[in-house]
Amino acid sequence: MSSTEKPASDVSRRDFLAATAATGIALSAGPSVSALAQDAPASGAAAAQGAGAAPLPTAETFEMYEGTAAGAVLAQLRAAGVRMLFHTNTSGFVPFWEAVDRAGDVQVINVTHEGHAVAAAAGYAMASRSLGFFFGSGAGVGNSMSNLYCAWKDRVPLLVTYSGGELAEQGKDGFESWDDQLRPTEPFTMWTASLLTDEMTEIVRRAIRFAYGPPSGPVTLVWGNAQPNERVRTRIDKIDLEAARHRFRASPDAIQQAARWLVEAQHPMFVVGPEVSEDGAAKDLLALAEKLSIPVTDTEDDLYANFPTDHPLYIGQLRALRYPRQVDLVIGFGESFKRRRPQPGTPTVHVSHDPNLLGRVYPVDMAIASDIRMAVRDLSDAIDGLLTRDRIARIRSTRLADVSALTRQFNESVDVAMRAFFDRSPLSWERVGFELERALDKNAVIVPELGTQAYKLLRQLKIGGENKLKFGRTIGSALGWGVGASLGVNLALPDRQVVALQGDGGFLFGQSEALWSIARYQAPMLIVIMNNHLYNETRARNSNNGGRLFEAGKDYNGYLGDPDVDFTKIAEAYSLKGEKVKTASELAPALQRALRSMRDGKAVLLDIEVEEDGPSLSNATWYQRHSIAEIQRKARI
Amino acid sequence: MKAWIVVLGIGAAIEGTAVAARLPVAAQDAQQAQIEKGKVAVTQVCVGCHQGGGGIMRMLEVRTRSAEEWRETVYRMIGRGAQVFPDEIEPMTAYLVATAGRGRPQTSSPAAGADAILARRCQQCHDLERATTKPTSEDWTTIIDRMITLGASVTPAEQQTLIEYLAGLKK
Repeated sequence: MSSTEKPASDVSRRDFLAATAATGIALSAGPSVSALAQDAPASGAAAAQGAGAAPLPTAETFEMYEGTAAGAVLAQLRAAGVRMLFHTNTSGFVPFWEAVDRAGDVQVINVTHEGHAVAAAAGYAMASRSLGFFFGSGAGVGNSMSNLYCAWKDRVPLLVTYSGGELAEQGKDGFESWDDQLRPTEPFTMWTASLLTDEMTEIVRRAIRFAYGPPSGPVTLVWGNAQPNERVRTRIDKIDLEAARHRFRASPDAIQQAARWLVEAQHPMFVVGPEVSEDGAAKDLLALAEKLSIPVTDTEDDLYANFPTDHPLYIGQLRALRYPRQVDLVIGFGESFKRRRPQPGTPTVHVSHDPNLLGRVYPVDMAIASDIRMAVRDLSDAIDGLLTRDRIARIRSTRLADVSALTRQFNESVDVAMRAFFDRSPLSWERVGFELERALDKNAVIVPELGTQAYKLLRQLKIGGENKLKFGRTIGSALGWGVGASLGVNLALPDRQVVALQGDGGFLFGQSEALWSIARYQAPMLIVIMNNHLYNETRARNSNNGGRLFEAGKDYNGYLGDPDVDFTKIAEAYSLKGEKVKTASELAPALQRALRSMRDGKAVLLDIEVEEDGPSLSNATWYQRHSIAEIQRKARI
Repeated sequence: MKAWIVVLGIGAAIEGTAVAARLPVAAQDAQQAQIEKGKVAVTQVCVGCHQGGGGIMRMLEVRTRSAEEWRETVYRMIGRGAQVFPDEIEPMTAYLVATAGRGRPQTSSPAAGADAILARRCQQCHDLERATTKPTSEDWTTIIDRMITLGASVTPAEQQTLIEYLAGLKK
């Protein structure tokens, strides 16, 4: 791949049509989805070249490297622009450390647990739209798995590398070793490989290719057969990560058909998913929605801020929609419909850059395999070709009046509901969201890892567009992701306020150690613990159905208040600031103190007492008692 | 979902009658209109998330809450994403007050007693609509006798309450 190659994404549909005409490339009508996936990249590349959008690459796109094998890997990473590496303690990387030291422009972030390190690398990759890189011990494969799984669910391009796993060790049951070390990671990876000495840099290049896709995701590698300080002579390719994700576009026929449906529909609706942000399509999608005032919805699985939540066209989450009542066309952009789907029978167009997802969980009427930004731009161009400007303006104004009248009323109800609990202590989730919105910068970054109550807080925040960014909750939902991920986000976006939103239960999934790295690298974040001494979501689900345990007021796994953890002391143990907030009136001043500390460069943990939600139990603090001390005491009697 | 709506619908009719007895005619009409509006809103809003949620249906059957508590529930659901117009909050509250808790054992009226028996004995196998609809021209005594031979656990007193209640239903 050439660093001078211009991404095909910059080619408009008009350029594309002109180019295909100029080069004589025939446009086949109605190709199958699989054919689209195979043919479209070639068409895009041909269009780019045929339109004269980019010159043929002439400059040298590689250079030769001589040095240690570990140094070759670092050189290849640097040639791809990678400058931030995440590591968890192990020995055996001396040649790599020496290469890092020699390079002088690479930052290594030490994280004290492989799982948190992988989460941090993922957070960094998501926020920087770059590649996350981790190196650590093969003995830590198990530790890293939970967040490797989350990165796979979130489709984050990561290279996760482990020492050990040498082929010569197979079958020996050696120290810290087992055969086929990467096999446990296979379900959660795009590819696994060994960094064999004679092909190290080629394997790194290939790994990046697999990691970026689309679909993108983690690749795991073992450091193979390199001997300490073994020297190699190898090729280092320049890699442009901006162009690393292949972009391909739909056939013009498919776009034209979808555009026709869109202009004919009376009550169309867009559903947006994570691919919108992955493909950098958020601004274009906003423009397309505004062109015809098409209401936009998302799902609770949305990893990113794909559409501004304060926009009059944002109509809430797909699961609870009342507008439009009779949707006559749904276009899903990069949303897999895995959890929430349109009403059965609703005509649906599904656009995804992952052909494997198209129509998988929901039978759609038209499947369009395309880069999302390209599809949005192509649709917009096609609409311009179908409707006059006056007609577009009429549709836009009429529909906008309808949609915004409804969203205004719904927002009014949200405000009424929020104010009903405004002064309550322990605090309502709505109040916490309200105060965060008031205190934080407009462009702050939110990294939530909360349960089903999250929306009560997040609904109060202005997210997306020119507002706040959001990364998470991880679609994998495996708790123990958020604090590490938020560190990675802050490393990628050092000039923004970053807020990790945690439940007490989620934080207790072993996340306190991530505070060590937050302190070490002076990440001036805000960590909010929504503390209701409870796995609230679990209790609500367990209790909703009534039954024996509900009647008895028993909850075997929900209660967390014994011991009553003082999270501020955990923060202070890592030399961070901590403050408890017990009443509603304490929150705003505490937030101001926290922001001052953050401006001074020190992270703050706020331990906020929040109310529980769901069916209350008569014996809310009940849990199944067991005391080893009591057993010992009895034994002594 | 269907069963839930039927449960609430029947409940609304029963409770609506009880409420109506204590109010002037104009107020009765207003109250009933409020409940009807709330019924529409509940069926449109709540099923968006609780479709197929047997647990929620059951909780609505067995839970008795005050107006203040139900209003708070509506607020909480709005916070979670339920799309409610401002002028639907009170009707939804009124509807839930009037209808929820119909599956609870009650002794204040024959209808309420029958309702509890239906929930406890019949709805183990049938949804409420089926349990209260005669499948044949047989009388209810014969039908319930047959259910007992098929395993239904109904005491003679409960059987009598059920027969009187079901025979009085307009179908």
